[in-house]
Amino acid sequence: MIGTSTTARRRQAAGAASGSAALELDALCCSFGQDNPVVKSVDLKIRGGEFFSLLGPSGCGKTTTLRMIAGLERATSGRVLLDGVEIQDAPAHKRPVHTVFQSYALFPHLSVYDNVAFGLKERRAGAAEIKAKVSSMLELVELGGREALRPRQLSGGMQQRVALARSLVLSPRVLLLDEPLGALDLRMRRQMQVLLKSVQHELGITFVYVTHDQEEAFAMSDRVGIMQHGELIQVGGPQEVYHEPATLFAANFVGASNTLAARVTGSEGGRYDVELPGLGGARIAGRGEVTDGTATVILRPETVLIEPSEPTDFACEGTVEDVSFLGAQTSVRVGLPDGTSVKAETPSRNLPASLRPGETARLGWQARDLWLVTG
Amino acid sequence: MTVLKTGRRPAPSAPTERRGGPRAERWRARLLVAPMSLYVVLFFVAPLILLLVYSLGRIDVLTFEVSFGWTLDNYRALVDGVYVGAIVRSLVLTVTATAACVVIGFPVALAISRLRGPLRTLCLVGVVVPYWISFVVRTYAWLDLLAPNGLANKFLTALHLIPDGTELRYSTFAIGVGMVYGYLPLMILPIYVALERIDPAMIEAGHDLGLGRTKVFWKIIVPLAMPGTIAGALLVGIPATGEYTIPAILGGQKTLMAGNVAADQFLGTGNFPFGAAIGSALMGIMLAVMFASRRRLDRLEDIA
Amino acid sequence: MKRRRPRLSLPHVLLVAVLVFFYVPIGKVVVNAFNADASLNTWGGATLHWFRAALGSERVRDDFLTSAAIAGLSTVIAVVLSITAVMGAARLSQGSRRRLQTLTYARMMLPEVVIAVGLLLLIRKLGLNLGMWSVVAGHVIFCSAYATLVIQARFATLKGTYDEAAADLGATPWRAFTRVLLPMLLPAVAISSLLSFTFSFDDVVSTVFLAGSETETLPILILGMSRQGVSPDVNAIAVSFMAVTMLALALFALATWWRTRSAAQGTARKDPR
Repeated sequence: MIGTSTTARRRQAAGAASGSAALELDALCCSFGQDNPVVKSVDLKIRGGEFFSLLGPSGCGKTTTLRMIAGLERATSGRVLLDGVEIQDAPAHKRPVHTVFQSYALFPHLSVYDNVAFGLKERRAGAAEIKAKVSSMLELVELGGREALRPRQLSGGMQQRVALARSLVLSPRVLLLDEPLGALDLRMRRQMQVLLKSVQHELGITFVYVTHDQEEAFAMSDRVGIMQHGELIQVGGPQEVYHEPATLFAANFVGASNTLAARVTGSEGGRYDVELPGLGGARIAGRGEVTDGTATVILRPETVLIEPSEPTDFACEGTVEDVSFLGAQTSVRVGLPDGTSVKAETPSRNLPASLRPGETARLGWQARDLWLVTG
Repeated sequence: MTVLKTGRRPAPSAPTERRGGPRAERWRARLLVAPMSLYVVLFFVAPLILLLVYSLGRIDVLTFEVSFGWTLDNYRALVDGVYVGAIVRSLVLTVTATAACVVIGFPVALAISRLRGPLRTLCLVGVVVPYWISFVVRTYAWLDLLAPNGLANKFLTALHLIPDGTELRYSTFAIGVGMVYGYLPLMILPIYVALERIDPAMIEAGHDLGLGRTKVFWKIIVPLAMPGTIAGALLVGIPATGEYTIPAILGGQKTLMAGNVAADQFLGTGNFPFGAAIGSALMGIMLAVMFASRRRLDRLEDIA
Repeated sequence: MKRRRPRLSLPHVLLVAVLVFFYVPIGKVVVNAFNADASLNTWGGATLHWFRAALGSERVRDDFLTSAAIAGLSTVIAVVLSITAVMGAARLSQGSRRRLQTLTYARMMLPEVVIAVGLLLLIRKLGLNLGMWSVVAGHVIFCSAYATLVIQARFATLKGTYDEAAADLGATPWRAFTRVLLPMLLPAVAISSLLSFTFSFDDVVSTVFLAGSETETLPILILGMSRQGVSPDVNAIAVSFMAVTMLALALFALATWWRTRSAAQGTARKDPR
């Protein structure tokens, strides 16, 4: 889609050298009224040129955090630093930070060209310079030739790209994106994700992306920050967050998980000696402080083996309760003798054909696939 | 690089840093609102307060000087003075006219809401446009129709309701007709909007549960359209109490409404306190009605 | 979906009756304005005589100009006050906004006679003379209420979206207003201007109380003349008067239709992708 031969030209056009600012949030808080804290003391360091996603359910404070970086929301306390310079007191229109809004917010009375040129005109740039930058940016987002159209004449995906171009053309130090793909259908969303990732990679601008869609965040981001109830629970790369979640909430938010109650007999340097009732014990990895000798252990369904051919650290037998064919994967729920059930997910073609509700099935998993959480 | 969050960070203490920015912004906002606020206080609030003060004052019939004592004489004059008839007539007429507007307006709004396509737009426009045509002209138009040889007369005579040649003008009836004529569009529109909002699924559900057309109308449609109906009744009833133009044209010298009496006091007799009492009384009634309907409307909004 | 045959029911009959009820009186006035028969008992043939007489009368012309001037002034003041008030109120606290809203509704809901009488008392108390200015002052009270309502409704859809986008792109609050908000508010400004103008042009009550002896508007003239009953002169004046309002409405409708048409044409060329 984006030819490498034009990379240099595009980089120049977007002034990419100025785009890789590091962003730091220091004890950032936001409350609407005394009893309504929306963001509770967020500390975050985002590297220059990074694609960072803020992930979380609705109401977790991720959008408010983004707006505080943009200057559209005033922080109650705390600091926002751009390459070490405090900007939390600067009004939005003075910050070298720009936003792509969820609703696009394209100015309906202006053409595509005028929309994209809007910020440049505010900077009193010359007509020739504006024309060059706007044309180049529209090419980058593949909307060349549509300068004269009005926003209402464009499809959702195209409007999205105009919104992107409008912010990028100003060579922001950081680009903020607030769930920009929410209104698009699946196919369009996938296309846009690819475009966003490649544009970010090409221009090297720091992206801060807000979404509630875990898959989307994982697909595009270098690192992900999970928020819940106004707090940042965990920050890390997608792999790390998925395999080593900080809390039960984080574990469940980024993927399906089986939760097993465990007794903890000892812990040392990030490894815990646990005992799964009726299933045996092992030394596993995890996170957190165990205070009362109990903890929760997470087991991802795709790591649970059905009728394993090789020996596993843990093994059990139960009755199949449900078999759901999801397409490429099949999800099987097995009820154990003690009343609990375990979900296993496996590629459909690996599934024993005879597996049906009511049948007995053997399950097995390795100790290395277990993860302990305390939160 | 991972941030370890094992325990809970202590919640931040009450925010102490309040930046100076919002204060400047608020002053700018106040500056923008100031012209309107000043204007309203000077030309709206102050006059109303003055009205109340005057209504509690006294007038010397000889010198026409107003002295400001605190007396309720003017209000008493409203209740048992010469103009009682006019006051009572005002209220009765207003209520009757409003009721008539509801009774006529509701089915009309219903009919329009059942039309489809361009016909519906046409009828809607057709019903609303008369309101744009000057009130004075519309009221004046009835002067012609209500004359002894006017169309209304001929129509009613044909129906054998009245003897031929009756003077229909300069009567309570004429004012009533004029008021319904003037205010009907204002009643139809809110009811139409309310009916429009009713989810057709509710009506279907009613039929589905075995209710006949009449029952569906009374038990489903009417309650759901009630907020709109009340809004329309207020939109009509409140200005109607203070109506001046219609009685002035169609009422003649004998049939007066509160608005005309007040005008008389100020432009003719010069009894300002009494005129002010009429105005204040009207204001009081309006506020009471508004307040009462507000609560009813709030409760209804939850149902609709 | 089953199709129900449209039934000729009471509501439909009533609709037709009401439409007839609405337009017959006006129609008669319009028709009679061209009636050569002065007694208006029969149709005496079409004539423009009454119109010529009406428009030839200096008094009618003066009154028309007075009405237009008052309406124009009231509209400008009302709309400007409303725009600034709406823009300012957006940045104030919830409580202040609610107070302003109450004042707006109060101006629309209180009977005009009450407001006019109060204003008359104030002017008298201040020892000032009545004139065109006092009529404008009275008209602005309710004109600004309607204008605020319309502009506020439109502004509510803009605030939080477009003003933020403009600020985000580097526009100062003033530039955001002139480049984004005001252009987008123009339809609402147009509607409220039309509303203000027609209400002021048509107004009787406030004008009766606040005009004083020197100032006369067209509605006041019609009111006075109608006390002597129906006459062809009044018909002609009334029709001319009506024509102004209808013209304003028609221009507005035309402008809206033309705008929607060009927008629809634009959308028709929408890209399929």
